[in-house]
Amino acid sequence: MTGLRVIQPGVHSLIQDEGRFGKHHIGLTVGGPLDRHSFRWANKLCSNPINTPTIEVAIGGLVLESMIDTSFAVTGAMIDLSINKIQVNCWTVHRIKTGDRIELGYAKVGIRCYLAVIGGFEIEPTFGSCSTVTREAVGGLAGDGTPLASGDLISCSETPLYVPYFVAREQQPKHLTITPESTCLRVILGYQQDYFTEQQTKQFFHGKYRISERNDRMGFRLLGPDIKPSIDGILSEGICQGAIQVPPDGQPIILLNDRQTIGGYPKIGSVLSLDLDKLAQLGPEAVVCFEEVSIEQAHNLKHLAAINFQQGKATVNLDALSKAIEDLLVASNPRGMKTVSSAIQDGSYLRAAQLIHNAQGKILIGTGFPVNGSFETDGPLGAIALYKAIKAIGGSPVLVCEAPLCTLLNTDFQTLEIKINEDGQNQAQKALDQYQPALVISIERPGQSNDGRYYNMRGIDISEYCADYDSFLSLATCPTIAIGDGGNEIGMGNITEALEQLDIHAATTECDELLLADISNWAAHGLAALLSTISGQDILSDWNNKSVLQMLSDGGSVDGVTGENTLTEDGVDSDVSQRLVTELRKIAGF
Amino acid sequence: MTNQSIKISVAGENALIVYFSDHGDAAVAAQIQACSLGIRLALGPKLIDLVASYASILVIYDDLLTDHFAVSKVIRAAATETFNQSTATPTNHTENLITLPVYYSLETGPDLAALAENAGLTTDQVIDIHQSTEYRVYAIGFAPGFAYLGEVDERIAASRLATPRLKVPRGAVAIADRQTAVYPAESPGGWNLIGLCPTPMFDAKADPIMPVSTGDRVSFKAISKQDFIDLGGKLDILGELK
Repeated sequence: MTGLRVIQPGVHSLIQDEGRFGKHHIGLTVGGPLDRHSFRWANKLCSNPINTPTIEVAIGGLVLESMIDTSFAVTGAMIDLSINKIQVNCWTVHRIKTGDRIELGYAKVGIRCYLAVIGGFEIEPTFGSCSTVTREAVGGLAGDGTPLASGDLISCSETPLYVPYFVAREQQPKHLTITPESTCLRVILGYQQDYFTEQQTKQFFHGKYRISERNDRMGFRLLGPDIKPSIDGILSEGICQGAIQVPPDGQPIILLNDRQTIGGYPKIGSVLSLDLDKLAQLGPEAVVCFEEVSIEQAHNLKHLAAINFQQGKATVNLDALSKAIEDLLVASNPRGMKTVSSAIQDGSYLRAAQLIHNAQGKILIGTGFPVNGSFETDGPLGAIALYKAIKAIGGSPVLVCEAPLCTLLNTDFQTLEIKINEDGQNQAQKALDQYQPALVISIERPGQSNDGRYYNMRGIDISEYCADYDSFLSLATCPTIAIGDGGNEIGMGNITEALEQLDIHAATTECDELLLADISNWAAHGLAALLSTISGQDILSDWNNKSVLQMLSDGGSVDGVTGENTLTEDGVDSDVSQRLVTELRKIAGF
Repeated sequence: MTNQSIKISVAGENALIVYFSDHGDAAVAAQIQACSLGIRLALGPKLIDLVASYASILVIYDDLLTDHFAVSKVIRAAATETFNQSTATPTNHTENLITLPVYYSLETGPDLAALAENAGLTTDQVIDIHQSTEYRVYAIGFAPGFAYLGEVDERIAASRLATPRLKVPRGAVAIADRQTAVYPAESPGGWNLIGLCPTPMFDAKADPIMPVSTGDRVSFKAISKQDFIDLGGKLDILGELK
């Protein structure tokens, strides 16, 4: 078993899911998060189902150490949060690695925080729920109602992927950012309301009540104007969430998640659950007042809140997403791209995606790596993926390559053929003049070495098969993007020094944004993922890697590594790429 | 309120409470049990939870799936059905009758002697009266598995202790006013203890978790110390009892 180790449990930290429902007949209460709204957001940020166990941290002080690589988010009260002593934001998904320490300070505004991990904590439910109810000795890690203690291991699984969501400050609940003068709680009158005189009821709605020291997960005792019903007690009856009971001393108690299921004090009505979320964030001395709403209004308010929550979208942190994509695409490192990636400033994919997104005009996409009179599968497939992504966001792409690839592509795509024996600069300048591109992209195009020749990865001179696309980038007055996976492609001139450590004939052609990937095609998917997030369109949803490879294969393509006409890219099976696309789509938030 | 009418009040944003009577008795308990079943069946997944008590049912529903108008209708229909059935079979004894064994003794019932003395009875008479009455489960609550049973014969009714005990052992059979109960787990408590019951009242691993449900009939049967031990009863939990 692995997961998060509790180093310090803090003041009072409990495992909570939505709660334990349908067990009142055996006397079990509901439990669950006191601030349901923040709880739900914690799970939403982590892309978890809503009823996923989280840690409810009251006041703060929780310190955890991760035994795995995963991601987490903290919502709720305003609190200092750090990873390895470095301050990070709440309401934000953070990546953590084995050995990292998560520390919560003490709540500055509000009381309760919710910590969720991607994929959720894996805890055996008791009576259908993991919610900890200490009074009933039910729920939690061991099922016996014990709060978290030092040394506990909260089980969760390694999660390599995450969407770097955050909730913008203006979308966070307002009561958590401003210390309120007094918090208004809306009340649905009911139960024994008829036993409270009109005078008493008025007093209740006009009075201000202070939260006493006696407040916990069972209920909040209030201090304020007495309201005395005409009866002291009633026959014990079921108590619902938020019920306001009035014992003989006339001081109301708002009953919450861990309440006893039955009781014999008169009740004037119940607080709207949406406002219990606010109450949960108030401590002693905070002041509340009450306002009447009808059950019909309450019904509407709850439906509106449910729709708002459903539609409320977390924002994706594009810098973090870009970094995640950059890391993911060089993770297997077959040709040293991970090794040299540090030579490129973080955020290259985002900058490139933004160039694509903002391009007003034609986008030239040059591709095609000649092999034995044919062309590689790596390059054209990515060019097609980029072409489709650019089309999806309303751009106008043109594929630039030599025959025979160009002949194959020109039936389905806008193409521009470049020739091998032409004067490169002249050819490029003519095309640039004609197309006036807003952006020039190169994906897996051989780039000129410092001797002006083209070399493949095995160091063989392939100049006689190569048209000059380098000049498109060097002569372009618009921004340029180049993608490569070996070091001998156009654009690698940006990282000449770093490439010295690799045993290749490095290309020297430069570009504005160089993107690295283990397979160049994958970079196109990475860009499509970022374009999805930026444009809000699920661009990768219908990508079928195999069918594009099939089309290329029918046109005589070969695998650049094996030299065979197979449905592979650089020796990698099509399914691997398709899985990568699925992962990219996921971390883009789709 | 007559037995044939109910009153439905709003309890909260997604809860209605149905009152059957202003007091709890066997007939009301039977009605509540039947009506609860009717409501459960009719609401299905729209029901979040239900609390049947002495004279009322609290119905908590999913207000994203239904509303108080629809739930009121369901409750009225279930109540009408219940009343029609109980008119057809006035002595409806189809509910479960559960017999719980009790080792009544001075050893296991530290308040037995005082209760008898206050009642002007012998301890044997108290035991006899307690086990010759048939009770109803009026409500389950206070703690998981805690069943309120009524009504205790007036002769052995006893008010709660002035100072509640910090620890009442699991299985303790107790009286408070005209109610009796078996403590399902060790807990604080102010009821008068008269014996120990070896049957677990709340066992998460058992099916059902509780031997009784609200509305069930319950009687007690005196057993010997040996029977108590044979049935799995434990006496070592008495240590701290005073």
